[in-house]
This record gives sequence, C-alpha cells and structure tokens, in this order.
Amino acid sequence: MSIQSTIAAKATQYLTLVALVAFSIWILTTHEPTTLLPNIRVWFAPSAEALTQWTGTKILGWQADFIYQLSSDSSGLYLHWVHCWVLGLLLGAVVYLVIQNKVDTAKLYYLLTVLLSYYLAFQLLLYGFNKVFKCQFFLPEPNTLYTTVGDTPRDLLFWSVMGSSYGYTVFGGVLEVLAGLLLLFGRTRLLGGLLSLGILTNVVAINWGFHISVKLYSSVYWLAAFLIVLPHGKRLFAFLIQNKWLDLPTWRPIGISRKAKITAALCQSVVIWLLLMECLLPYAKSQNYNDDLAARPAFHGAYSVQSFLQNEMPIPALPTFSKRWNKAFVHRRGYWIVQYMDGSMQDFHFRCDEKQQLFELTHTSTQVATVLQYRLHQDGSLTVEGLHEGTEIEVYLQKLDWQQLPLLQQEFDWTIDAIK
Amino acid sequence: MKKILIIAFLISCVGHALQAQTKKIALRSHAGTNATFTLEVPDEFGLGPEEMYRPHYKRPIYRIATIDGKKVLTEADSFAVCTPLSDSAYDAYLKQSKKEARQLQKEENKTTRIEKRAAKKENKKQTIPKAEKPQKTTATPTSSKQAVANYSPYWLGGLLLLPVSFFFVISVKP
Repeated sequence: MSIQSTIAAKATQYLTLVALVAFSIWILTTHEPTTLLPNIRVWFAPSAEALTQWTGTKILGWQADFIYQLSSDSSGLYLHWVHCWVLGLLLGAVVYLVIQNKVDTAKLYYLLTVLLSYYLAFQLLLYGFNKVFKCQFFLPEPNTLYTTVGDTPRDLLFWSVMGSSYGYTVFGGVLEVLAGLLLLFGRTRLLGGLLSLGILTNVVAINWGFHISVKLYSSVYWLAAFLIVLPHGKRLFAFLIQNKWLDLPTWRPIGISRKAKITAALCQSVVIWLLLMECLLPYAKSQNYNDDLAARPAFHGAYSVQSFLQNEMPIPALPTFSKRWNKAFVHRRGYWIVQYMDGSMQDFHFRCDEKQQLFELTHTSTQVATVLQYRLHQDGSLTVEGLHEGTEIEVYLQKLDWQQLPLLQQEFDWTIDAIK
Repeated sequence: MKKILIIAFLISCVGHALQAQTKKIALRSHAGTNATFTLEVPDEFGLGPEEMYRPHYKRPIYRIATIDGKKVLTEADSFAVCTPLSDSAYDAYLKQSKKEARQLQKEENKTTRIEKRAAKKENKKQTIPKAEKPQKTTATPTSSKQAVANYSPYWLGGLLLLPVSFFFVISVKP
C-alpha cells in the first residue's frame, strides 16, 4: 500500500469518527420534543446552551442579548453546530488513537450510516405525518387572510399558500413518510437516501429562497442524507453517467450468528415501533387527523368594525383616524389582533371570561392589560366596551365569513369550461 | 437493482415539499409582521402548532350554569386559553382548575343533598310509597366528563405491532 493511500485511509477513518461524534452531539442536543421517548434534549441542551452563551459573549464578544438558545436559526444554533464539529475533531482524535488498526473504517461508516438513517427517518416521519394530518401547513389564520399580499412576509405567504391546499400538503407528507420508512431498513436504505436527498434539496432551496428560518436545520438533514448516499457514489456515477455496473460491496453485518441476528432484528423492530408510535401518538391522543377541521376556540374569526365610539364620540372609518379600529381578529393560539385604519396591526394576548362576559387583552409589547365587557348577539356580532389604552371605547363588531374567501375554496376543474 | 436505482433517481427528481415550519412563522402569523416576533415558547423546529404535542393543553374551564332553575357544573362552551404556558405554569394552572372543579362539585353535591332532604320531607308529607320515590333530577356533569376525554392510544400500539412483527419474522427467517 502506498503512503498516499495509507494517509487517505487513515484520514477517512478519522473523519468518519469526527462525523459520528459531531452528529451524536447534535442529535442529543437538538432533538424534537417527544411524548413517548425520553426527552433527551432536556438533559443535554442546557449544557450546550451554556457553552454557546459562553463562546458568544467571551470568545466572540457578541452582545449579551444574542439568542444563545438552540432554536430555529438562532445565533446559538449556528454556534452549536460549530461546537459539534470542534468537539468531534477533539473527541474523534482521542477515539482514533484508542481504536486505530482495531476497527475497520467500513464498519465505522456502517455505524454512521445507521445512526444517520434512523435520525433522518425519525425526522422525516415526524414532519411527514405533521403534513399528512395538516398540522404543519395549517389553514391560514383570519388575520393573515385579511393582510394584503404585499404586506405579508415571504415565509408567511409561502406558508399560507401551502396551507390553502390540502391535497398538495398531504402529497408532500406522504413522500416524506415514504422516504422515512425506506431509510429504516437496510435493503431499502439507498433508495430512501436518494429520495430523502431529492426532497431535502428542494426543502433547502425553498427555505433559503423564501427566507424560511430553518435554514441550518434543513441543511443538516440534507448533509445526513448526502452522507447516507455517499458510499454508493461511485456505483451511482458509473450506473447513471457511464452506463456501467460496478460491484462495490459495502460492509454489512453478514455472517453473524443466528442468536445475534434475532437479537438485532428484535432491537430494530422495537426501535421502529417506538419511532412510529412517537410520530403518531399525538394525533391518536388528540383525535386530530385533519387540523383544518379541528375545533377552534370561541370567538375565533374575523370581525369588521361597524361603529367605533371613543369617549362616546363616534369615530368615522376614515384613514385620517389612523388609530380607529378597522377590523379585529381572534387567533386560535389565544391572540386578539386589531387592524387599525392605517392598515397596521397590533396583537394582544387574549383571554375570556364567559361567566362575567369579559375579554382580557394584554398588549404583547407593553404587557398592559385591558378588561373589556362584551355582549354576544344572535348573529355572532359583538359589542365590546371599556377603558382601552386610556380612552373609553364602545365597538360594534360584525362577524366576517372568512371561510368563504376565494383562497380557501377547494375548487378543482379538469377543463377551463367551468370557469366563468 | 438497476430498476430500483432508476426509480429512485426519478422519484428524487420530483421530490417535493418538506419545509420545516419555524417558530417565527407560528408567532408572527398573529399580526403578519415581524414586529411582534419574540422567543416565548419552547421551539419545535418547525413542526405544527405546539399544542399538538401537548394535547392536554386544551383544558376545560368549569363554571356553574343554571338549567331549569338548578345550578349544575358544566364546562364553558368551547373556549380554552391557548396562550403558550411553560410546563410549570401549566401544572400550576391545572392544579388550580382541578381545585376549583372539586369545590364546584362539592357545592353541587351540597345542593343535591339539600334538595334530597327537601324531597324526602315532601314525600313523607304526601305519604308516597317507598317504591315511588322521586327520581334524582339533577343534571350530571357529562360535559366535564367529555372534557377529560379518555384517550386510548393502545389501539395504535397494537396496530403498529402488526407490520413490525411482520418485519421481525421476515428478518429472522433463515
């Protein structure tokens, strides 16, 4: 063996170890919230966040208020990704010194592929079922529907467009579930890897193109899919480009004893069962298999302001009265949103006391709470009155039929003849 | 194998649409602007609304309603506070709600006992035979029972066992 090939083999073994350690740390610290499996993130994330905070403030000199938490595209998450690889390089070196010449690189790479396959499969199943049951791309909220396209940020607009199509969302979800399932089994892993790579390439492009803030997270998934396919790269290149068939066997645990085979199959079956349960349990528990049809909280919807009295003075619906309410919305996650005459919006945390017929609105920025008395009329319209932001107001709100807006109509025609 | 590779390539070419939802979208969908984006709930790295993963999150609110002149314990129509709460805050809220519900139940039982006694006295006066004792008329808090829905995820576990067992059998087949 030449010196060059020896160096290349050693480097490959070391880099495999580095990737194994880096991905293990990443998985342990950024794992999704779970319902059935132990929430391992809770055990490891605090230490990782403390480290990102320390590196950010002490080493890089960032402002103390930078987001060090490991959340979607936070500075802390980027820093943590770097930490994972730095730790991978250090710990990988230690492990390499201990195991070199004892463990075959092919075996190590097999271990890495299995780890990444299960991780990626779990993520794809989570996101896939989330789409299939219409939870990820939810039905646009009334306030979003009444915001002009020009005023809607690109990511939210993309979300709303996807959320308006039930069929396409389910299609996307089914593809992800399929890719996830294929990744779980040795025989179909390459197929699953290729499918995942195709899906995730599109995802990364969308997340970057539409400024959706899961850029790093989706890129990590893409890298995982790429590393799963990588050992088959030569074979794929020969087959797809050179029109040749290369027989390059990758290491697999073949020839093990029957007892070991049964044990491995049993472990794999239990893990697959747990992963599927973890992904499906929330829906079975909540009995929510189509989030578009899920019950919304009381008063949820859009309201048009018909009359607005301020200190008993009627305020006309003119753009000059910029702080007069134009519309009001109740968001399903507990927000009361006011759209003013100048088009701007302000949201308030919303609570309601049905017994005393009171609304409690808390300004999301100032945290100032206002209690308003409401009267619900037969036709669903509301009268709201009380002291709000220093003035006595009395507002009559007419309920709008937001579900009849054109975006939410599930029309489908094979021909254009039906379009009038 | 060649066929599989061709199919895989073709499928991967048309692979679409995995876009992780971000907390940013979930939060700023309130007002359609960036202005109110704050980090105030645990991140879900882009999955659907958080309450999906905490089904107990949609909690019932109890109140006393008057039906046919009688006070009964019932659940507030369909309203649930959906503002994200931390686990500890939620636990505290749940404790308080349970306490309130117990108190209301006690009050209701007390009213029922008083009514029973009054009915007994009335019966004695009218000398109605024992067999014709008036039936209990107080409405049972069925809605609150519904609210604490008895979820049974066991069927799902059983259902998933079928394909997993099939896989196991295939794997260990000599």
